[in-house]
Amino acid sequence: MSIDVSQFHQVFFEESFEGLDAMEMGLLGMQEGAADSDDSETINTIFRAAHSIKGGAGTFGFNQVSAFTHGLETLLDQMRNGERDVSQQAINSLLRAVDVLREMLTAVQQGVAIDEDSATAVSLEIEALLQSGTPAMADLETTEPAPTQAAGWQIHFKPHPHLLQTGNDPVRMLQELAGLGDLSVTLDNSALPAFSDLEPEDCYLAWTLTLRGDITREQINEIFEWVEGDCDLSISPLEPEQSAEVETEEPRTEDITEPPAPEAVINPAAEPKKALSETAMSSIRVGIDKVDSLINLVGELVITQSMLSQLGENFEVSRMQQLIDGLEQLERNTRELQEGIMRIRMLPISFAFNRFPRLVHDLSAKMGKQVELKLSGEQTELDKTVMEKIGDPLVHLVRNSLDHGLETPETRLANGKSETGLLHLNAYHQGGTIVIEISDDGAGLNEEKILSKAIERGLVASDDNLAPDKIHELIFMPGFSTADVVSDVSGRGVGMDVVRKNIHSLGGSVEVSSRAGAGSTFTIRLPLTLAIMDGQTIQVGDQRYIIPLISIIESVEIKPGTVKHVTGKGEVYSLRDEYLPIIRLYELFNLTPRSEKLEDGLLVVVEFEDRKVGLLVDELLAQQQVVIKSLESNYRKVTGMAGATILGDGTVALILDISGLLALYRNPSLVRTLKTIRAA
Amino acid sequence: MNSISDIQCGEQLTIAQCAEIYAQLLAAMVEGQAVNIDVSQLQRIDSAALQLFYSFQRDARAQGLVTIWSEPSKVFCDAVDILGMGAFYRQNS
Repeated sequence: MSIDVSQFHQVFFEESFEGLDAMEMGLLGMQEGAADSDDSETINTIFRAAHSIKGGAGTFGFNQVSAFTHGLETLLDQMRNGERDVSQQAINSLLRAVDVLREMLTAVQQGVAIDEDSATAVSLEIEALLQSGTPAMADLETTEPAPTQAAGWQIHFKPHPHLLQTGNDPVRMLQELAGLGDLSVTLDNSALPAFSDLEPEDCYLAWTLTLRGDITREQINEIFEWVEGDCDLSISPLEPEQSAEVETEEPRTEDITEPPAPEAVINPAAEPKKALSETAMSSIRVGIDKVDSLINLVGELVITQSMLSQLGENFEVSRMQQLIDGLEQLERNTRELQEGIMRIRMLPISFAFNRFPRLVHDLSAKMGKQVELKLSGEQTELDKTVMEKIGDPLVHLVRNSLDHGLETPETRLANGKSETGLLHLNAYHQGGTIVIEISDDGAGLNEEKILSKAIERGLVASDDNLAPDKIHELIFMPGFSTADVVSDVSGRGVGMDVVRKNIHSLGGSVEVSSRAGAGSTFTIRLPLTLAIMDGQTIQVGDQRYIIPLISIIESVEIKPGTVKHVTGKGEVYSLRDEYLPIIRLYELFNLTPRSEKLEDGLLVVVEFEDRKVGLLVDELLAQQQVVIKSLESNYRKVTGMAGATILGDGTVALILDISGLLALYRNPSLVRTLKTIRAA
Repeated sequence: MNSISDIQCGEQLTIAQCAEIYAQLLAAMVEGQAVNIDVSQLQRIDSAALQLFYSFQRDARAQGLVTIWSEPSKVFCDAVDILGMGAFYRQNS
């Protein structure tokens, strides 16, 4: 019987990516030269992650991945055995190896070719480290000459009682050792109990093994790697024979080749190749408690359903109260089930935050800045789809804070601040939204510079007297960048407007507050999910539409005399000190309104990208949560419509897309298209 | 009562069969029976089974019980040697 292992690929990839994240976090937390217990545990964690990836890749036949991992596993093994000091160079090389592995796994997952150049470059780097390296001081004293030069090895192997039950077999392991060289075995049976007291599945034996020959420690480690943690194991080199000593007496300094400087091997500007296809299936891991609670809820739903069907079979008017109770219970069950199912898609935002320690580490080193990254609210939960889409805007904002916000240590000292700047990422829930704040204690936005740049680009008039917060908002304008030098970190001028656009497309908003010399805070507000939203139902003619509640500023009754006609621009409504263009929705959608008189309708003031418009509607109906159905996947993309939903009475209502409506309003040819669609 | 207890090991003897073999050997030991262990067909044996036999042989020997290893297969002999038990079995069989 053969097993189709491809069914396990997805799990392997998920676990490997998690392992790589763990490796990255561990490496970033490690201090150069430190050998305290915390660090040794960290090295162990990193080693185990690499080891699992290597094992899994080997099992599934991803040989390039397993071969690549082998080198870094060896390096990590030497570190955890204390044979090698933890140098910053090694940490950096291992971090690059993590990047390469991540790319390799992504390529394998998507069935595209692995970028062999970057893999080879990092492999060479690791290889150079292995061949030269900085052996630990302790090692220099006890194991000279180099371990691989030993005449052989003395191994004490004492399995823990449960080892045999793990499927590991000393017979096989000792046979493999015998295959490496000349093996002599001494059995230690001192722990073996009387036969009548024997537990046949426990292991009581231990062995002292002498293995002679030209064998590296790695070869031995490889044999025992699967019993790590299930036995007491010590491996020490045998005293070298006289002839060997003569050969190795010369210090081997001449042989040591300096590992190439990282920059010489890797092009630092080389960005990881973007995924070529998006076909890889996405999946989600769900805590068993969430699944259990869903099963409970379904159980309750089934009980309610059977109660109602019983009631239906012999229904009498006298049982009306029971029916009403039953329907209420059904409503409660449905709501709880809906909430439970939405919770399945929720992931802690730490999934998005976890990439930042590495990013900050790399960028601060590159820019010569000292930065302390503080993360809080990592457990705040967010819909998986929102999480995936917010990643890039967050990276951009963090890069921006590092590049433009935080100053160099010298500047900070000169300004009476501590050398190390603080970058704080915070997340929390507020109402039905999640708020993400990116704040720094840097220089703050340079209002003068922003204003002069905006005037230079004709974004504002030189005599506009803008309030500070309006000046700050200018950085979100397309093509705006104040960086003195365009760096590869940020400052290409294609940044903040794209950030805002992406956040808006998620139904969210971003704003900035800043104080000169004290720092800036970017605040992102996002809906918790993209599948359900709060909407305002409106009536236009005989149709009902939904306006996303987040876009609505207010609704007003139009008083006579507050509307002006502007030639070529239609009607504008005077709301306090502003003039808002009026969009008559019935005109846009080619409907017959209840009344064409403005005073008979209501004006819903909506906002998009700081532009406000008034939508003329016949009536405001209920505010409700609506489940968004995609028009694109069920019909086609329609400008001005974000999707559709099914109302309680079974009719379909279209959900308005405010940015699309503004485009329609500005471009009447699109309106004709919309009318053609309606006519069809 | 048979004076010799026969234990058939078949071609494969691993930790999965150890509990059963242990029960048979223990019964024989309690009864004071001689034991004939047929390891002639063995093509695979693991450490748990070898430890079981080793422990039995040591105590049986101490109690003066006779153990007969009938025509040990090469696999059995190699496995005994690799675990460092060869000398023990060769002492006095």
